[in-house]
Amino acid sequence: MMQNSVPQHPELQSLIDAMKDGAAIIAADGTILWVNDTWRKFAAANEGDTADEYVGVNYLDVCRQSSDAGDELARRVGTGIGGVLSGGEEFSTEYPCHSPTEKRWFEIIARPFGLSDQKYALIAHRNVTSRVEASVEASHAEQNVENLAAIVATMPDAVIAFDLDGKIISWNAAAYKLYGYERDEVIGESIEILYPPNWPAKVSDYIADIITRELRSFDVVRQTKYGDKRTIAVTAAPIRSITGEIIGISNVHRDVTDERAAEQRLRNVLDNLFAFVGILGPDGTLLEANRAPLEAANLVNSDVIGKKFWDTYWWNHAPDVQERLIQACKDALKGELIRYDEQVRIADGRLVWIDFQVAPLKDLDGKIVNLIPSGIDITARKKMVEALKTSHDTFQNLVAKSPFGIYTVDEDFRLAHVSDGARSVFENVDPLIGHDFEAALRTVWAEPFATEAIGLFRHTLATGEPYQAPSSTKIRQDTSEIESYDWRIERITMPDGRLGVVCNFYDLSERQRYEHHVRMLMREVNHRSKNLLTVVLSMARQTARNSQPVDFVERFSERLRGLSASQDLIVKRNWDGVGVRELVLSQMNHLSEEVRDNRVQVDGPEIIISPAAAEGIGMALHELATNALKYGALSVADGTVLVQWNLQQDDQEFSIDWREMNGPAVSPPERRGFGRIVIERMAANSVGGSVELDYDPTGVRWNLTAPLDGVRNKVSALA
Amino acid sequence: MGNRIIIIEDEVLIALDIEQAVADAGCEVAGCARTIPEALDFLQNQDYDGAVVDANLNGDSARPVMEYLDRNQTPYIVVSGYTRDQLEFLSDETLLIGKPFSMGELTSSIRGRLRAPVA
Repeated sequence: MMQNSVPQHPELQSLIDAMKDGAAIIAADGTILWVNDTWRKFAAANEGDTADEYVGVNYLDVCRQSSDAGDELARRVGTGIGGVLSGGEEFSTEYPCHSPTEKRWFEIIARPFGLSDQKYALIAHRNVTSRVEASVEASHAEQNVENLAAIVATMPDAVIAFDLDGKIISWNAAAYKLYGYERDEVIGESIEILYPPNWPAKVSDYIADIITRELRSFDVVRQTKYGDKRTIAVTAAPIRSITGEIIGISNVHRDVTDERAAEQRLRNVLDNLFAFVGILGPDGTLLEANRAPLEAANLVNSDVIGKKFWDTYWWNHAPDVQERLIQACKDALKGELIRYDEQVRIADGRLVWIDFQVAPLKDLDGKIVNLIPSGIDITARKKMVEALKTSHDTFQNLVAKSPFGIYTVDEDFRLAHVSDGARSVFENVDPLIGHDFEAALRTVWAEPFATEAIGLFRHTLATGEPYQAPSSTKIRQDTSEIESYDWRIERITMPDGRLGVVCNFYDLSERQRYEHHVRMLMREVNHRSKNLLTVVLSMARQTARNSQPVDFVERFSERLRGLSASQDLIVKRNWDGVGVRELVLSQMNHLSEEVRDNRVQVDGPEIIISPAAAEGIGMALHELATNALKYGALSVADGTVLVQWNLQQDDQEFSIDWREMNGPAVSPPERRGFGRIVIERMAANSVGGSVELDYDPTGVRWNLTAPLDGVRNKVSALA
Repeated sequence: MGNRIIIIEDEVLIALDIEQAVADAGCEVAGCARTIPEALDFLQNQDYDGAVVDANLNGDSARPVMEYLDRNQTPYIVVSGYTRDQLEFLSDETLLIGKPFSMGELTSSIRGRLRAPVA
């Protein structure tokens, strides 16, 4: 349908042929006048009208027909081009045109132009696949950012980000949970809103540090919206822009208040129970030492074993300390038990006081074969005694509830402040604040103390020398009662900038009660440690009586390790008790992994038993395991052991079984050695129960039965 | 023939040491008790000439045991990790041996205090 006459501008053909995009020029009524090579190729490749390549066809009609057939793109293009031809500006739209082998997107652009008073439109199809793909990637990246944000929002740890001025820019749900601030309350606020008052560092200090060191982890104290202080483990890293510049800091905050407190409690228990026990050869060579002193001094076995005891790290910090030890060993070799207090060195060069002793160990013939040195840490006791003697402040901090009093006297020698705890002393001074202090003291105290005290206050006010009064008992002028106080005065600067004197005092009866309490506690710790040392010493003697000298060190060390494993469990639970399962497993530690994993079967409910029961049963299990390894089921390849425990008789009775199977034929031993005593009597006595030991030819069987009351925890009495 | 001694001690290992000391002192072990009721039962029903007593049995004070021995004028020795000022009920005449003890000291004390002169 040629509606136009012959085209008047043949140069336009060569112009569009030079275009890379598929291009066509249409007349004002929509008739296609010229198409270029790319258009023809595109039409051919896409099964278009190859006969005339659209020239002479009305483009708008084609669009209309397709649009009527339901083609949405054709409708859009038809409308757009129609608009361009009727005086509009440029029109463009993007559309997918995927071939079976690749994804492609095209853009159609229609632009009007006039030539010799005729209106035309240039239509171009441009392949924009790479541009569309880039924008799809960009939207994926956007999705990734959103995913990351969702992860951060749901993280159990608080995630907080702030910019280089310290202003918070990100705050997740866990941060709200930890600190109580809603997101909207803190965005834009300084991160220092979380710092407790008087926190020594500024956010700028942290930022500088994090930038230079990249990733840092450290503990800090932070404050919630409601004023609670929490210990926080912080992991911090710089945030970088695409170009690598640091634009902020990200923080992960985890609340570790409870963990740190638990660590501190455990530390305290360990520190209190620092006890040393070792074995020396007759010449003073250290053959064996337990773990506590090694750990306390950051040492390993090879640092000390084989050295002369006095040349080890603990002792070689002072020649006189070494001399005393050498002398003690000499005396012990003559058969004496030597005991004295000494300072030994532990980690970081710190010195601790120990109650030290060296005991001789004799063999069957009475010959001294080894020396057993042992010690208990008494630093805490010594320090406490010193602190009580000298430190008023320590007392104040420790006994917050005691009725200690504070008052101040100003430069005019008038009462300025009187704390609640101090008011009872001045009960007969009225009015109180502003009262002449000389008159007040004379009201309260009789002579000569009143005059003496006035002199002391005036001296301190004039010279700035503090005064610590010796504990003193005086008669009151006003009530005639006898009262005793410790008191201390110091010169201070008053709020108005003038000088004054502050007096701290406390009631001695309170302090005496406190000292008594500390003595009771120390005595209990002391008693517990001594008992343990006595058990260790007896164990050494019994082992020596029942073994050859050559075997002694090995047998004794093994037993010591067994006892020490039980002690570890006891301390781990703060003397509250020990789980039977962990106790059984701890006594299998000297067996090889293969044996523990495949040949020892452990089975029973979770039951917590008392420290004393754990000690007794633990030692018995240790001996049973050692015997099984030497002579019993574990001495051959196929033998097995079954350890079972349970509650019976309506949960009133505890029973534990040791059963060996598939071992060599068993016959009762001829001698009743130390191991036998431990397996039978010691275990039974520790729980008030009874033991059956059966040397059944098919395998040793051991059973311990005890009333549950004897096994369960017993509250230790301060008897 | 040595004197008969009752041992009152809750820790088996320590009791074994004491048994050894009693034997070394030339005496005979009449029995071992590890709790207060068991000890009182022994004291009322056995023949004995003296006793070695741990001052604290499983957290209980052994004071009733010592009072019983005092009433019957039976000689005894006390062993304990506590010091004398922590055991207020101990009379000045009672011998206290501190834990951990030396075998020599324990043996000679048993010999000196608990073995009656041969009649």
